[in-house]
Amino acid sequence: MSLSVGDLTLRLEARGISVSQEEIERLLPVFELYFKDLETLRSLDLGEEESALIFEPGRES
Amino acid sequence: MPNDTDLCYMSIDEAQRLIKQGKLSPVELAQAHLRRINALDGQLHAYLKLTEESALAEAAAAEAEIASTGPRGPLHGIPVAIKDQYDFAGIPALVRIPPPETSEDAGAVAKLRDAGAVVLGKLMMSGLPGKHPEPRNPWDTKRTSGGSSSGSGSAIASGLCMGSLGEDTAGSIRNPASCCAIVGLKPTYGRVSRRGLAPLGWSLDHSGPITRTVEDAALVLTAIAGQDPRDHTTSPAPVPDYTSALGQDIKGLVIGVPQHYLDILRPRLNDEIAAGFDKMLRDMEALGAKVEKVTIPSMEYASIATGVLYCCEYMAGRNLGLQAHVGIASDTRRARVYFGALTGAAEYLQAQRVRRRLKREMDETFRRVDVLALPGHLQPAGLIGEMTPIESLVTQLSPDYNGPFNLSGSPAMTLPSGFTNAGLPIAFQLVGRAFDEQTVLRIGHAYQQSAGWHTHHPEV
Repeated sequence: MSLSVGDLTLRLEARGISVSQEEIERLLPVFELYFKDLETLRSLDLGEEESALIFEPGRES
Repeated sequence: MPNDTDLCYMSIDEAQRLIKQGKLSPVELAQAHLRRINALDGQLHAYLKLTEESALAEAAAAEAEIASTGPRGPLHGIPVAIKDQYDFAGIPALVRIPPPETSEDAGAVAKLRDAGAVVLGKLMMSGLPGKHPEPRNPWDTKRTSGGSSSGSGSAIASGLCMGSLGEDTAGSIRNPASCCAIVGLKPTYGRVSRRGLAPLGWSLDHSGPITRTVEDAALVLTAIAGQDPRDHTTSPAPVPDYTSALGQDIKGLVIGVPQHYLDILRPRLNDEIAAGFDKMLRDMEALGAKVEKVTIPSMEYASIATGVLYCCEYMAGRNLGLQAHVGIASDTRRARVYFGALTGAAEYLQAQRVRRRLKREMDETFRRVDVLALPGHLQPAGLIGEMTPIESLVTQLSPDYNGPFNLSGSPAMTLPSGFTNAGLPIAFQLVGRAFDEQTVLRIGHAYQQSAGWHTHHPEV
């Protein structure tokens, strides 16, 4: 996957976070790893598995 | 009277027995710890803030009360120290950005004080804003004591307190325990109040003890567990005496080994830790336990899901002050804000679906086994400064043995199982059914008593 520093900067700005291009460049290898993780997550076939919007992980049976 | 070193390496149980018999004064015990801290902490950097004056006052009050009416319980007069992530009255967690104007004792801290524990101060943790010295590993002071409850690891292993509270969002209680040859217990999500604990990831954060022995972990957990009316995530389930199952044998109990997940991580696992894990399993069998391979397929994706939830919840928790946070926070915490901001709702929910599936698969597995066992860590404690901030971030995002059980909320305890040829601690982890800390403690205690690693202390 090829991530653009400019694109990441703009997307963060759109979410109210101003970050220097140098910072993004420095962290680029980690952004790439995280985006790869997101891609893996999106590709999982979880069948009928639901996501409860209200949950208490320790108290579920 | 034992010397300071012997006093400071006593277990909580041993110290309390002497206090009860009038042979050990809580004031002398607190003073011995303060002398040791003053002598060693300039080298170890475990403490962020000593609360010497209030600790001595608490010790004096404990001494007077015990002389008059006896100890309130096993922690009365016992010196403890707390990870900075917990608020104290008037001393908010430094990791809170911006710092609040007022603070009160966190729920778990208040319970420790109610039990009569003497609070020596706040301990360092990884990822604090600003420049702070990194806590040193007492087994090799060129090395890290793990993270993020790094001060707790360093302080417990070097006898600078008798019990500690850590916090675990993705392994932060268990990793320092692995690195420092001590015991770290992440209880079930909802077992211990997180009120007053600066949040990192709401659905992943766990409060729990870091101690030198399994019995001490059981004693601290018994004191801090239970429903907190001001923390809606805490469970109303009754709190047992967690020491009650200690000492029972483990004949016939079944230990499941998620071999497929261990195989996935094997290329990154240190050979000596792998050998130590295999030896531990043989030792468990010699104690009468049965060891069986199990398969929990979703574990493969659990660390990814944990990482995504962590980043999203961390970012959302700072929603109103993101820019200020980014300006002050450490590299790793800033990166989590960026990642959380760039994650979509569907991806967050997909991570929750992985959590749901993992929980279901684990529930099914726990019908056949009593606990799961895994190595505690992939590598022994690393050298300080060995990793760049980027390498450190990559490590944090990579799958490990801890993250899956923050996702499932299961109780998980790490304890020592030996040392490498270079003298660095090796550890393993036991994971139990939700709210069944007792079985985890029982099996861990049986192993500890047989193996005896808890009697080894570093020469500081």
